[in-house]
Amino acid sequence: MITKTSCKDSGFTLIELLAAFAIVLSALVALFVGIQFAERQIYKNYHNRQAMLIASGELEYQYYRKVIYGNFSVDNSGFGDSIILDDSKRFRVNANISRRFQSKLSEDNFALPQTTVTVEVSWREPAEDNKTRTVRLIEDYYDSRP
Amino acid sequence: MTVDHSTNKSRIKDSGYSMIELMAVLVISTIIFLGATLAISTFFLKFQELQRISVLNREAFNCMQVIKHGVTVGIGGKTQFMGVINADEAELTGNYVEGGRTALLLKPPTSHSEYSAHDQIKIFLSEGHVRYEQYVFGSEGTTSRERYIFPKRVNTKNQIMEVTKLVFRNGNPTANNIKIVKVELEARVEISRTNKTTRNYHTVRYETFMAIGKM
Repeated sequence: MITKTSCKDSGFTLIELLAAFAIVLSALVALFVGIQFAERQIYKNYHNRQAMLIASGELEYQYYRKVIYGNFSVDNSGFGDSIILDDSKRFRVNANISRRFQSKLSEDNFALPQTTVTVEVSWREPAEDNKTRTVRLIEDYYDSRP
Repeated sequence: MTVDHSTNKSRIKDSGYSMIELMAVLVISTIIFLGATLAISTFFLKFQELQRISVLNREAFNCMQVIKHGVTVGIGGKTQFMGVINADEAELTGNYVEGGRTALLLKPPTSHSEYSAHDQIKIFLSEGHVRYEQYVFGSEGTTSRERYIFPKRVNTKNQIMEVTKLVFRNGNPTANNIKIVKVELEARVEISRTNKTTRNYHTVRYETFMAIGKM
């Protein structure tokens, strides 16, 4: 004799299913938020590296000016006052380059004439809500040894 | 023994899923499955793309540093770095492109006791790679060794990264002797394929000045 009275009529309720969907959906959203964050970080790193190379190149150029022409120069610079950091389809980023020269005597026992050259590359970072970012490199040059 | 079917049938509860319910479950499950598959595959594609861009950024930057600070040359324990900042002389060679040249010849300090008179290193662009040739300590070294700076040599079919531009210029065009070099590097990586012939690339560009060691 066949009876169905022993079978329990069970299953997932609508609330349980909705909760499961919400959990899966939030996991997927988290994945994409992570990807977005990683993408922005990659672009920021690229701009930082480019700025770093430009700043170090400018220091090299000033070193060259000092050795060959005997003086540093604000006007005669390697890159000028502005440069394009990124001109990809996604971003166009312009950077400003500034140089400062500070002459003094070195603070060691030799008291050598010393020039501190500071090069700054600044730009508005589109991958970080257009916040201003700056790469600053500083190098000391000594005129002569005793 | 005889069974009275009519009696039993009346006691069985007529339960189960109707065709409409089954169809609805099937359709909803399919939509959810397709949506999840699409989302996850998009995630992995994007992840792969970002990973490739990240590697390109890093390796291209490292290439600029290697040109500046030098590649390791020599054999056994007798090794040196040879690059722009420790060179005595620099010479632009190779093809003309955009006012510059595609190769840079660097000569190490002749006063250095370990270097011979004709030692030199040549950094150049060849078939999408930044490569170098060396003649150091009076020898070319092992010629079978492939000398790639960037990108690393892999099977041609799997080559997704390539250098599209490497230009060396005299940093001061008015001076005859090259004491400072402007280096421009452009490289790209394949990030996706629309079909068999159309490929999408991401490109990076780096440029800087490098002063040679001896002024």
